[in-house]
Amino acid sequence: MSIKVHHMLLKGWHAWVAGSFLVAYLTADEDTYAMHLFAGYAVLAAIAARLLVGVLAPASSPLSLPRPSLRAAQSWIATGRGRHPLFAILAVALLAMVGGAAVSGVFADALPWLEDPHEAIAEASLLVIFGHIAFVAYTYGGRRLLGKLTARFNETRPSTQSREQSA
Amino acid sequence: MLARMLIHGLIAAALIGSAAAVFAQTRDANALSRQIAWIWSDDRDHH
Repeated sequence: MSIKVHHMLLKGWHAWVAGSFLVAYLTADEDTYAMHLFAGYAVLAAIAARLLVGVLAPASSPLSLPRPSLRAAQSWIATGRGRHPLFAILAVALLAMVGGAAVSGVFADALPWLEDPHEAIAEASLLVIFGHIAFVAYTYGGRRLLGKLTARFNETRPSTQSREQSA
Repeated sequence: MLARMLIHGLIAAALIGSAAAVFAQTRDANALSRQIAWIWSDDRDHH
């Protein structure tokens, strides 16, 4: 399989996990319990599939599991080159949190005391998801936008200074 | 790219949501028919 196909599968997986998490989150109510159950199992299946594929995929593949390492983080801080270490940290945090929410949901059916921890993990994983989206948006688009805004600000500043001098 | 991924996520949510709704409907219908069958058998026992 080519790298392009791997990237496509990864995007498809993102849609699968995000879509099922969204449905599970929005249906977390007594009235829509069956829908919540279905979507929760879809989240669990997505996480299980990702872990399985991540273990089987070669290390060079984009499908291989992200491994945060202290050495990679130190090297990134020193040189500023390579992939930002937060990518791997956030990805592992997301897999753990969303997986934890799904697994605790499965057991909460039999063990009612797990309902509150299940809810808490789901709420916390929503924050990690927003953090992940914000970080990716900043890395791929926000930084460029920030650069443009700074450049525009710098363009307007000399003219303000010259106006002040002439006054 | 991010906007496209968000749209893909929403499309997936719509598909999974629809499947979940069908699952819920089937489950409810099965539960209802079981309940009706149970009421019927209860009535028969009494008569």
